Amino acid sequence: MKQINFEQLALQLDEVKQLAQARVGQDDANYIRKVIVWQRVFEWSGRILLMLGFWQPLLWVVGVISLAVGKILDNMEIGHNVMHGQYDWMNDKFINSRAYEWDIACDGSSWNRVHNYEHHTYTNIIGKDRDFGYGLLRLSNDFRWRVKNLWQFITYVLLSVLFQWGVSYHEMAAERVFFGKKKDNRDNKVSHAELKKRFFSKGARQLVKDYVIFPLLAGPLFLWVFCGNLIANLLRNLWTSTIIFCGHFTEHVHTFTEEECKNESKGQWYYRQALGSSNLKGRTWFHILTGHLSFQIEHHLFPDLPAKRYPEIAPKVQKIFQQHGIHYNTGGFWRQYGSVLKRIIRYSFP
Amino acid sequence: MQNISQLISNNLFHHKDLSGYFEPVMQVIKPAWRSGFFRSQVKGIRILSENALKITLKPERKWPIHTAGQHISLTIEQQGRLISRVFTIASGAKKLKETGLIDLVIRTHDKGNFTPYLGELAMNSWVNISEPMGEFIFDEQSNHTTFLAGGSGITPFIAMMDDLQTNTQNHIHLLYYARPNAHLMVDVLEKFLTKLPNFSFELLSRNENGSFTKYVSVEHTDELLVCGPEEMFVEAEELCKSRQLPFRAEHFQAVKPTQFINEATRFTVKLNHGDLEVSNQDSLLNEFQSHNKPVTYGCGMGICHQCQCLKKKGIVRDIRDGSLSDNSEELIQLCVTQAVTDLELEL
Repeated sequence: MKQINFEQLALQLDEVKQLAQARVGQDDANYIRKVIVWQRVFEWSGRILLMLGFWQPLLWVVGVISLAVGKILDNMEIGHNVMHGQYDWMNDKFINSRAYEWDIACDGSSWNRVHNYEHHTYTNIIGKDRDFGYGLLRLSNDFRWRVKNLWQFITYVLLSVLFQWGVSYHEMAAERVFFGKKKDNRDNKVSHAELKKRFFSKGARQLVKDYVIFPLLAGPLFLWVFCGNLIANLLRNLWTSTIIFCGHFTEHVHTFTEEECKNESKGQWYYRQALGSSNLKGRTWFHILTGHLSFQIEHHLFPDLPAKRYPEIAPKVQKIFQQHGIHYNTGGFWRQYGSVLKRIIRYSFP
Repeated sequence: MQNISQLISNNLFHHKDLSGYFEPVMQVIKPAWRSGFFRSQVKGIRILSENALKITLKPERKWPIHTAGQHISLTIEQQGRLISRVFTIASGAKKLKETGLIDLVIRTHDKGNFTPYLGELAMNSWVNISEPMGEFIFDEQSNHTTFLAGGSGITPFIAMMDDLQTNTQNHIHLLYYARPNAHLMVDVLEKFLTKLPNFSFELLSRNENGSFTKYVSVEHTDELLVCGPEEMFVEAEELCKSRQLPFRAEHFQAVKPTQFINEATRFTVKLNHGDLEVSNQDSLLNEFQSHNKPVTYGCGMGICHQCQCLKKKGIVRDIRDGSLSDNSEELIQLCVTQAVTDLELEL
């Protein structure tokens, strides 16, 4: 790793966290409850408007968008952040990382295990962070080129379209659970049988809800609702996939080897999180819809700080990075997304 | 019915409990609406002394009527955080039926995590209370009863006497121990003197009057009711055993963190299955692992929340910043916390 005063870096970033944490309180509790209320409004407006499509198709279109926004809010600003433990301090029976379950095919507790532990602890360490390329895409020279990488752009598009299922499959480490692939030093905390049960049970509930029960409740409007749910899920999948790819696979994102990260200090851990992530610039509504993952750098530095606080600490983080000569990877959506696509295409070839 | 509700909730609302899905929406219409709690409106806050106050609450209509002597858990939202404490109701059921109100008399602690904020509660704001709990009640079976109160342990006796009929034949003598000049609600006790002809009381303090044992009249005590701190309870229990007196008690124990955290001490951790002795010198996770206790864990640095568990009781110290937790129920991460008192955990 680069010659940086890691001790000072850790002290400075710890201070940023402590100051932000000290301000966390009523505003944050009110905020997350308000977002949940808006989520319910979008979701139920969407579900009702889907049934009015027979009368005015435009209402159906609005319904689809509204339902998609509801699902995006649930998955990103609420589900992802609550399950990170950002609101555990509230002592709320339902708004906490143990109790929350989201409107997506992936079982919350399985996601919590792989995402919060493997991805956030070992961010971008090749061989330890399974999220780097999701085992499907070659996104750096750290991976050997294979013929299947030639069509990995199509794989990427398919992954984005079916993102909720991809996440569900990936987060249970399905190659181990279904195909018995072994991982060295892997201590299974949850049995494979339990993981399989969660995978099928949550997936089935989502399918039955969106494609059987709600359409059936609409009676003769079955198809309007069925198709509306299908497209809302598709929009949510494309949005979440795009935002997540922009957080870790942009042009300047670094990868690390296990060797480099041995006996890592807190400052070195911060440094890796900083270089392994990238931000997106945008307006407030954009940040909310990304679950503030548009502040991926801040999120990776302080994953359990309420995400609403990321915009206010971002300038301080940027200043500290500048002082240490660390690249603060940020940019507009199209620039960052363009560089993601470039990376996918570039590493399709040897 | 509950099964159907859970089935719908699980399958349509991806929540284990329907109320979990709707709670924030309900709170827009009904502030402090929480599943498993009753709502209650603050109708009065009166400062009784430098470190005691009386809160008058109006519980929602469906709250079950309490029996004098019972207690409730009071939950307030302080800076977005829900915190709870248990208090005995200091007014009778008669008052509730007539006015819809209950009183809580609370001793405040400047450095506490709960009571300093009670004075800040706004009039007509909403708090949550549990249903009335406890079996410390006065059934007037005896002719001569001695009430023994210590500090804020006076509250159940106030409620009991509040509910007594003026023509009660029961002779009640109250021994009220507190620090000199720190006795609470003396004006109310004086009013009881005129309302209840067979009632009498003595204001005592440990330093000036010594143990209560000599004040418990052998001839005029058929039953002893005690509410006070742990030491008072233990002493009263022994007294009743030796005199073969019927005995009912409610006692409280202040949980205080060890003053010297650097001093090696061992604490008992009560778990779902069995107890464990841990040192206060290492993280709970390391302590559990050294005892071969199977526990889920991850990063070991407080990032991933894999070793998170529910602390039911006790105080822990956050290794990262040295802060002490509250004594009530909350989620903690084993890898970054040390025991500071005995604990009860749900892994």
